[in-house]
Amino acid sequence: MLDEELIDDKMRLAILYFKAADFERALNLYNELVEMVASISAVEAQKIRKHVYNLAEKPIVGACVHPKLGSILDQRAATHEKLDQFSKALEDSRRIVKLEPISCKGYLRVGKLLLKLKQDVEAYKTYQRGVYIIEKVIKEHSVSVPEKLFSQLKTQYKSLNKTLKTKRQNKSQESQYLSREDSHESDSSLRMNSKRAKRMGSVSKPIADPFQHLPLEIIELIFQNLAFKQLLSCHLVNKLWYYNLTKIPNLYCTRVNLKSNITLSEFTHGIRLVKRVAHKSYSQQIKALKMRSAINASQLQKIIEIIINEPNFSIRSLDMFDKYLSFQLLLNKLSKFSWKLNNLSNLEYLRLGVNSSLRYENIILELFKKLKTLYIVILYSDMSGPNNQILPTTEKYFNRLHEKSVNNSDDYESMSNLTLVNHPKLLPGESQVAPKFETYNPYPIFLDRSFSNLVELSLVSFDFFNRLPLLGEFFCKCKSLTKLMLENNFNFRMLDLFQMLQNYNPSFRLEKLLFREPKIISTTTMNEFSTDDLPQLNSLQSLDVYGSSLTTKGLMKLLRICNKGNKELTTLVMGNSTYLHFKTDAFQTSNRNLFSFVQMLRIAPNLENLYLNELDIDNQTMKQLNKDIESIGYVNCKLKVLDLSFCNRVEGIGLIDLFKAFPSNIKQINENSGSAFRIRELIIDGIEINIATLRLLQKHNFVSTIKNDPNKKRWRQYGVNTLVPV
Amino acid sequence: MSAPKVIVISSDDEKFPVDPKVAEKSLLMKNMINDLNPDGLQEDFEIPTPNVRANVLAKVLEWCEHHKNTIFPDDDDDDARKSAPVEEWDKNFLKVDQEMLYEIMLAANYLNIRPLLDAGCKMVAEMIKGKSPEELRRIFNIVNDFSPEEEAAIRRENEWAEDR
Repeated sequence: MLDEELIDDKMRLAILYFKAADFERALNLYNELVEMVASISAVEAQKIRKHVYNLAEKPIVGACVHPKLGSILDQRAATHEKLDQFSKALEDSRRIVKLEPISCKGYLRVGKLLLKLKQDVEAYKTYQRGVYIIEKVIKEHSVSVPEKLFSQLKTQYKSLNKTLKTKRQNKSQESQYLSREDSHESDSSLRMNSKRAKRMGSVSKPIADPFQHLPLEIIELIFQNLAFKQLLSCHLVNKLWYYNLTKIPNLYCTRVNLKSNITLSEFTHGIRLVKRVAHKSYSQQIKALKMRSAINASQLQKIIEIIINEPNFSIRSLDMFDKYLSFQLLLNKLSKFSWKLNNLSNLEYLRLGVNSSLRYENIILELFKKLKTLYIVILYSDMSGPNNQILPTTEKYFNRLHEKSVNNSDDYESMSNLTLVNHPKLLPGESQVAPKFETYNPYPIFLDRSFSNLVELSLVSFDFFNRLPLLGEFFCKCKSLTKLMLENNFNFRMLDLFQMLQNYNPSFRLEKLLFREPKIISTTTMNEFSTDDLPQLNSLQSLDVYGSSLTTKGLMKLLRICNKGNKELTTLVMGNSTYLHFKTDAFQTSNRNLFSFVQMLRIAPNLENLYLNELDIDNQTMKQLNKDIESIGYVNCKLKVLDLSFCNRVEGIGLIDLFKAFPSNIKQINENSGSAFRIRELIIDGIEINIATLRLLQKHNFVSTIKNDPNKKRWRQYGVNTLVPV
Repeated sequence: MSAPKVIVISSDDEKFPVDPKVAEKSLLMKNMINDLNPDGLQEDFEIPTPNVRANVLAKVLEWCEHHKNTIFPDDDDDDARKSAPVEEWDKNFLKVDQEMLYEIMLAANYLNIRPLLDAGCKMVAEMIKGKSPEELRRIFNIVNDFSPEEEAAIRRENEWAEDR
C-alpha cells in the first residue's frame, strides 16, 4: 500500500510552492504525485478508498482510482495554466471529468481553458454536458455535489449561451467549421483541404470522400452496414481509408469471420491484423471469432493452439465448425497448455461443430463456467472412435476433472441458451456400421444438470429411450424457459411431450414451441386433454409442428390451448402433416374432418405467418382459403407471410383465386377502393409458376415480395428451417 | 396566447420557430428543453445550434416535422436499427448532393437524431456496397497512394476473411 501521509505531505508542499509562485517546483512535485497515484491498480484503489478514507469501495460513477487523483490532476492543471501550458492543462482537466464525471471543478476548468483558447463553442458544450450529467446522476443516485461549485457551473453555462448568441451576429459563415474541426482533431488538416477545394469551386462536382468530411464515429456507423469482406476490401482504397478504418476496433472485433478451408498462414496474417486493431479498443478483446473449416487436420491443430495461447487475444465468443474437430481434440489441446484456458477464460458463447459422439461433455461445463450459450452440433457421423486415442487419460488432472465434473451438482446459472444437435445417423437403426460403445452415445446429455436460468433449449436427433422421466425432471428445474425446440428425436412422440407437461407440470410458460417428429407411429388426437390443460402453452407466439401426427381435430384443440391467454400466436408451421385433410378437387366421402381456415382464424386471430408447405392442397383449397378469409373480413385478417412451397397441385390459377386477382375484381378493387386479401410475402419454392402470374400479383399489390425458386429440392434447409444436419 | 414554440437558431443566425414536439426529435434539444424548463415550456425558448448552417438546419427540421409522429426503434436496440431498411420518403429526402448529405449527417450527429443519422449512414453504405477498391476510388475521386509493395502486403492481410 502507498504511504498516504507521504502523499498528503507532498501535496501540502506543492501548494506552498504554488502560492509562492514557484510553479516549476510545484509542477515537479505534481508530476511525482501523479506518477505515484495513477499507477495503482483498481483493486488497491478499492482498499485505499475503504480503509484509509472510509469511502465506498467503488464510486457511484466513474473509474475506481485513488480518491486524491482528481485533486492532484486539478492542481497540476492549474500549475500548467500558470506556466502557459494550456494544452497540457486541458489534457489534465479532461482526464478529471473522464475519471469523475460528476466533478464540477473538472468541467469548470475544461471550460475555462477552452475559453482561453478561444474555443467558445466547445466550452459551451462542455458546460452543457457537465450540467446534464451531474443533474442526471443526482436524480438517479441521489448523491450530492458541492452546491457552490455546481451553481457556478450552471451560471457559466447560461451566461456563455448568451454571449454566444450575441457573438454569432458578428461571425462570418466560415464559423461553422470551427467547432467541427475540434471534434476530430486528427482530421482537421484534411478538412482544411476540402474547405480550400470548395472555395476554389470545382466545375463538375465529384462525389465527396466520406473520410474527408465525416468523423470516425460516423464512419463506424456507415461501415457497420457493410459485410466484413467488404470492409477489408476498402483497406485497399488508399492510406486515409486504411488508417482510419483500422482505428475503429468495433468494426472488426465483433465479427472476425474466417473463410472456409483456411490455411495456417492466412490465419496468422488475419490474426495479426485483428490483434493490431483490437489493441486500440478499451477491452482489447475479440468479441466474436467464427471459423468454418481449416484446410487440413494438422493445420487445424495449430490454429486451435493459437486460439488458446496467442498472447493478448482474449475471446468472448467462439464459433468453430470443422470436420476434424472433436471434444477430444479440444481437451487434448487444453491439456497441452496445462489446462490454462488463457484466451478462452472469459468465453460466454461457444458454438462447436464436431465429428464425434458427445463424450466428456461435462468437462466442457466444468471448464467454461461463464458460458451463456452452448451450441454443439455433430456434423459427421463418425462412430469408430479414433478420437479417444488423443485423450489425455493418463493425466492425473484430467481424471480428477472428469470425476469432479461427473459428480458436480452445481447450478449453471449463467447458461441461458443450450442447443444440442446429434447427427441423425447416430440414432439406432440408422447406421450400417456397428458402433464402438466406449465412444458412442446416442442419448441426450446434460439432463442430470441444472440450468436454472435457461431460456432456450433445443434437443435434436437424440434417442430418448428410458430418458423421458429425466427430461421431465430437467424441465422442472428450468423455470425461465420460453423457447423449446425438439426435432427428430427417437422414442419421443408429441403425445409424450404433452403428457410430460401434464404430469410434471413444470412452471415455465413457453413463447415458442417446435416439435417435429421423425416417424409417425400413431396419430395425435389430443383426446387425452381438455382445453384447460397444458397452461405452459397458453401464451405461445410461435408453434411449429412440421410433419406432425396431429389430426385436424387434434390441431384445432392444440390451437385453442395456445390461444387461451392473450391470443398471442402469430406463427404456425403445419407443413407436411399427413393427417390434416383439406377441401380439394378430389373426391371426398365426407366433409366432417376437413380442415377449416375460418375456424383456425377465429381461434388464432393474430396469426401472421402461416406455413402450408408440402400439404395435400390444390387450387380448390386456395379458392376456399380466400372464401374463408372473406367471411371473417379481409381487414380482420392479419396474415402477412404465406408459405405454399412444394404443394405440387397448386398452380398459377390457384394463386389468382387465392387473391381473387382476376380482371373484373381488380377493376372493382381499384374503383371502389374495395378491400382485398393482401399479404407481404409469398413463398412458393419447388413449384413452376408462370412469371406473368407472379408479376400480376405484385403489380396490383396483392403481394409485396414473392420468393419462388422452382429448382429447390427440399423445403428443409439446415439452419434455416431445420436443425437436423443434412 | 398561442402555445410556446422552440426557436432553433442556425450558425448564421436564422431563426426557425417549431413545435416543441418537432424539436424533441433531437435528443439534445429535448434534453435542453427539459433541463432548462423544469416546469414545462412557459414561453418561446431559443436554442442556438452554433454548428449548423441555415440551409442544413432547414432540411433537418423538415425531416423532424415529417417524422414528428413516427415511433422509431430504441436507440439501444442495435439489431432492429441495423436491419431496418431506409424508408422511401427518407431515401428521396436524402437525395441531395454529397456534401449536403454529409452536413445533414453531421448535424444529426450533433443534435442527436439517431434515426436520421442511421438513414444517412445507410445511404452512404449503399454507395460503397459491392464495389471494388478501384471502383471506389473512381466514385469518390481518390488517388491510390499505396506503393505496389504496400498494396501486396494489405492484400495478404485480407485473405482470411469469409467469402460471403
